[in-house]
Amino acid sequence: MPPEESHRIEVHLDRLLAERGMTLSELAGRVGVTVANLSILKNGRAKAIRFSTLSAVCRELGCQPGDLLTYGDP
Amino acid sequence: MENQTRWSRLNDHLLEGALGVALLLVGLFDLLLPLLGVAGLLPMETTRLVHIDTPAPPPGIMDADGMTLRAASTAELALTDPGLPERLLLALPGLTGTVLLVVVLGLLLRMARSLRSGDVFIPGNVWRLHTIALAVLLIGLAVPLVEAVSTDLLVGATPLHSMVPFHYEFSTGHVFLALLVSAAAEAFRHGSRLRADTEGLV
Repeated sequence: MPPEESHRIEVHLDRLLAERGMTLSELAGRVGVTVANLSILKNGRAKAIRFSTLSAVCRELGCQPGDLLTYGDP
Repeated sequence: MENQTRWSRLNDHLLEGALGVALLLVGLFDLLLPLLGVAGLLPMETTRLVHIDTPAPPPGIMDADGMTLRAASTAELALTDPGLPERLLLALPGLTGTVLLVVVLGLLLRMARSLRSGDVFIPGNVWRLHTIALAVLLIGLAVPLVEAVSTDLLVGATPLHSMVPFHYEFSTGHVFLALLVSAAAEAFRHGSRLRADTEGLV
């Protein structure tokens, strides 16, 4: 197995939730993903995200993928 | 779903239990009792089937109703009152096979325990399967070799030596089984890679 590379993708789910006054469990219910999985995404511990999950999160938060994910400079 | 999980858990426990009992029985009857026999504390099997150069014809009628009884190339080597070295040589092939079988059962038990976490596709199980394959291969190759060498040592210093040649024949079934287990180990390696890839997928 190749060594796992670290990534510089930053997830801004907590900020987007705060701006919309939405809780994580509420978003989880709307998106159809477990709170545990969404928490992994929020805390930056996710290694990958399905396009279907990304689409659903963007739909419910009314944002673009670029608002949710950004590339952090080294 | 709940019932399925309960059944699945019960199956896991049954599998662990069956392997544990098998390990206990093998350890008791195929390892401990023969060792006590070698030590002279219990009676032990003092005969061994050996290959011979000049097969002896069977006694009595050899042809009957279209069937023929032919001479066999094996004979029974019987030791009357064997000493400790002879007893050890007699028991050595069986003990070697048993030790390898205990290794196999022990590793299978640890693999069964990994089912508790709900995932068998872990790197630990890959090397366990490779070790099982190696142990099965050794059962097929090394145990017959130990038997051949120990038989040679038993009859080496006796007049029977000329009649009992060194005979080694490995078990093709065990070699084939070892290849199958190796293939399963590789499948597990790919499975554990796939599992690692999907870990953390949201």
